[in-house]
Formats: sequence, structure tokens, C-alpha cells
Amino acid sequence: MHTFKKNNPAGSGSWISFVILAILWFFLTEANLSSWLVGLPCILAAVVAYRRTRLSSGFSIRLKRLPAFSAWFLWHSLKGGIDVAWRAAKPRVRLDPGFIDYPLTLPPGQARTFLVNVVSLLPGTLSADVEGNVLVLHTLDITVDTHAEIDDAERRVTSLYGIDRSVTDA
Amino acid sequence: MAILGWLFIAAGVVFFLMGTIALLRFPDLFTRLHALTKADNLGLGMIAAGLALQAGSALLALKFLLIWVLVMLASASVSHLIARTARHSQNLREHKS
Repeated sequence: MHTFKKNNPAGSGSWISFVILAILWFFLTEANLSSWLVGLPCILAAVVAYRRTRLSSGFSIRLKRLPAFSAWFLWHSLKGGIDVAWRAAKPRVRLDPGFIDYPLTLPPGQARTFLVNVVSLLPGTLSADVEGNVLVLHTLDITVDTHAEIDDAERRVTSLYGIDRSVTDA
Repeated sequence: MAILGWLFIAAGVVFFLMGTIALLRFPDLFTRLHALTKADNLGLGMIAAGLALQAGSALLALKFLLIWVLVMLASASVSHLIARTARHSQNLREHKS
């Protein structure tokens, strides 16, 4: 459990997360100085929590690929929202819900966690559980080919994180 | 800018309303989580974008967008936790009966 110190003797990951969280706080509070009284302890607690729960070695995203990914994500969020709104607006709610197993090719870690969260925001799908390397999805309509959509999402997350597909497939 | 901002906010309110209607009309816990994670996030995103357009300062605009991203992160993780817990307790009940 406590091997993380050996993997990262300089603790640079902690510093980076500290700086990122501090910047977030800075924007959220509109640079209000007295807010740091609350912010600083929260940030320190978050960094400690992050250090203790972090899974395997972290990947970092390719910033160059972030705009394309964001555009794709926004478009699908819009479709997902409209899908739910449309189903709710119909005189009779038409749903054919059920669970689907999706075998993940991404290794455990940041990228996988990110994918699991992204899937919940895609149209019609919700990440219910991860059992080993299988993602258990809940879908609003099991007659739709969800598999292809999640495959596409996984490919995009893989590319965003700059992970070599051939390594993850092995 | 101001008019465009109001349009975004109005659209956001509509999505919040539809999300709430979906929450009431959808049949079970899992389908209701779909309503929360999708319609409400989109609604909040549109309200945040609308407010950002009217903010008048880049710092404030960035703050609204940041709030959206953070809430989205929280709602995706929370709905995942609720779904997982519900699924596990359902499995337990089936094993007992």
C-alpha cells in the first residue's frame, strides 16, 4: 500500500497536483485572498488523498488532442441530453433498458477511469461497474448497437492519453 | 453577446426541466440516473456558457466553465457509485431469495 514513495522519490506528482488545484481554486474564488484559509487545507487534503488512492503509473494527456476530444465530447453530451429530454417528453416513455458487458482494452489507471466517467455522459449509456477488465454498462435501449459507440469512445480516450494500442491489446 | 447568453440560459433551463420530468417519469433507479447525468449536465453547461457570454471578464467566464467541468466530474462519479451500489445490493437480494 505504501510503495508509492519508492516509485516517485521526488514527489513531483504531488507538486504538480498541488499547483493545478491551487490554480483551480484561484479561478473559482476570483483571486480572493482570504478564501485561501479554506482553500489551502482542502488542497492539501486532496493531494494526500490523491497520493493514497492513485492507481498504477499515471499517463498524461496530449494537450494537442484535447480540442478535438472536447468537440467530440460536447457534441455527444448534446446528443445525450436531447435523447433523454426527447424520451421524457413523449406521451409514453419508451425505454428498453438493460445491462451490457464491455471488455476493456485500456489497462487500469487514469485513462480507464476517465473512459468510465466519459461513458456515463455519452447518449444512452451509464457506467454501472467495473469487474476485472469488464465494464458493466447500463443502457436506455439495448436494441441500439452500444458496443460500437463505446469502442469509438475508448479509441478516442486511448489516443487522447497517447497510449500505444498494440501495448494495451497485448 | 447578451442576447446569445440569454438564449443559452433559456435552453439550459429547458434541459433542466426535461431532466426533472425524466427523473419523475423514468421507471427505475438506473434509468433515472441517465436523466440526471445527461439532461442536467447539458442544462448546467448551457447556463454556464450563457453566463460566461455575459460575464464581461475572462476570469469570470473561465470560472463558470470550470464550475461546469467540476460538477460534470462529480455527477459522473457519483452516479457511477450509486449505480454500482444498487447493482451490488440487487445481486445480494437475488442470492438470498
